Amino acid sequence: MRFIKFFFIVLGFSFLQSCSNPSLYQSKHYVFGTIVDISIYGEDEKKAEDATKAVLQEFTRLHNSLHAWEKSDLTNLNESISKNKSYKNASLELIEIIKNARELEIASNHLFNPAIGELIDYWGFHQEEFNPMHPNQSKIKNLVERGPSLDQLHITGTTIKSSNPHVKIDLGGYAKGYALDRASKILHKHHIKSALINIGGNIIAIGQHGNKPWRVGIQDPRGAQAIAKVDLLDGWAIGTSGDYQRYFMNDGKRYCHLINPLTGYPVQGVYSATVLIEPSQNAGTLSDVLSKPLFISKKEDRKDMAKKLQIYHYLIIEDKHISMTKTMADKIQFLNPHTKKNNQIEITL
Amino acid sequence: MKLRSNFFLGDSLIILVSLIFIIFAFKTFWHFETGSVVQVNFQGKIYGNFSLFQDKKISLVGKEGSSMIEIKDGRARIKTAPCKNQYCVQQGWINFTGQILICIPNEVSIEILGKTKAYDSLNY
Repeated sequence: MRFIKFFFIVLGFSFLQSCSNPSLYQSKHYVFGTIVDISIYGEDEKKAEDATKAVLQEFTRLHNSLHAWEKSDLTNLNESISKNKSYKNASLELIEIIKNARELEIASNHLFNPAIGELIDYWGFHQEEFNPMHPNQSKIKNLVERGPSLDQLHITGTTIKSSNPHVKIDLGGYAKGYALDRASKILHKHHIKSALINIGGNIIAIGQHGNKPWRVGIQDPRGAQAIAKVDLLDGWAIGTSGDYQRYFMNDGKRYCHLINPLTGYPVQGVYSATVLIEPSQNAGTLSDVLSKPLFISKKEDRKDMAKKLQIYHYLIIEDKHISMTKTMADKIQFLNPHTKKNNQIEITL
Repeated sequence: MKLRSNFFLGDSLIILVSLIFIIFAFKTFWHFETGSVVQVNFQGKIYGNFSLFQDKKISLVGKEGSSMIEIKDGRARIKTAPCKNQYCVQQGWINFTGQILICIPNEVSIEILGKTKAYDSLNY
């Protein structure tokens, strides 16, 4: 009988135990003007803490080097460009980033264009907190006609010169993803075998969460919760461009921070574009960059754009309409049964 | 014989209490949808976990000013925020497990917790 008592006490305790999760180290930080969320599984706390610290140091370094409007190496470069001067002693890292971003700009038919800082600034998105503004049509036309492109940069050694003084580089659609790749490398160096890094919604997975894969929710663009979930396997990354992250309303119209470089206006009608990127050296970067051309491109051009950029897993949410590739549909699960009822679901190849 | 029945009384009491506890625990924690606890994050740290079944207002003074979190009728919201865009305030009430409201300027976020999380992190 003693044994039975003991059994029930143990049972009671094990019930309480099951609620806690001792080997998951989680921390939240505010860098890049957004939330950075790092989860490390199965390591002792000290090791996880040290690795997290190293990652955060790297993020602060990148923030100070790549910020688009607070003084940084990038704003110095932009200043030189605007004055028609050459920028000397650029870091190898900055040059690599610019070269890589340029390749992606060209591959995306200039829909991903980090040189349109002037336009983004005009729309008021170069501030942490921005005001609704009334766009002036001729001003926007003028800014678009200036035709800035990373292709106009000439790099010789460590010197950068632009043939167009209106190139103003903004790595808003690149830096967070790049930071994910850097973080992934740092965690590997610290021998962390399982971690999940989330920078403002862009996520990369290392290893898995114990005996299950890391599981990630995809935000409902018109709600405060996830619309779907997906297992993020080792080395995979996910990124979303949405009209709900940074936007303002004016006369009942939504103006989001994603601006079509060809028209000069914010994209309207698309709620979100999510891409899932398979493991590679720069999966994080690609998860950040590749959602942009899909978000911006015209509905009828989307498929060709995805094919050109080799995006095999994507999900687009519009008003009462969800479209995704077959491979994406196989990987995600909608959380609310009404989602399928209330939306027309289109599965493409 | 007398001893045995006493023993049985004590044991059955423990069994009964355990069963009541288990049923109570299931009822309290076994929610697939609505959560029962809101976790408040402030300046990168967990500020506290609060039951949703109470009327409570929490005022947090951050870098930008004061944010007010309100808990009422099993739901939580950010009632006032010092930022300009007011996204977190406009999103209104949350009560489902995994729902989250974030105010980046003032470094405040609130999240509804449940027994099991539907996912480890949110892509947005």
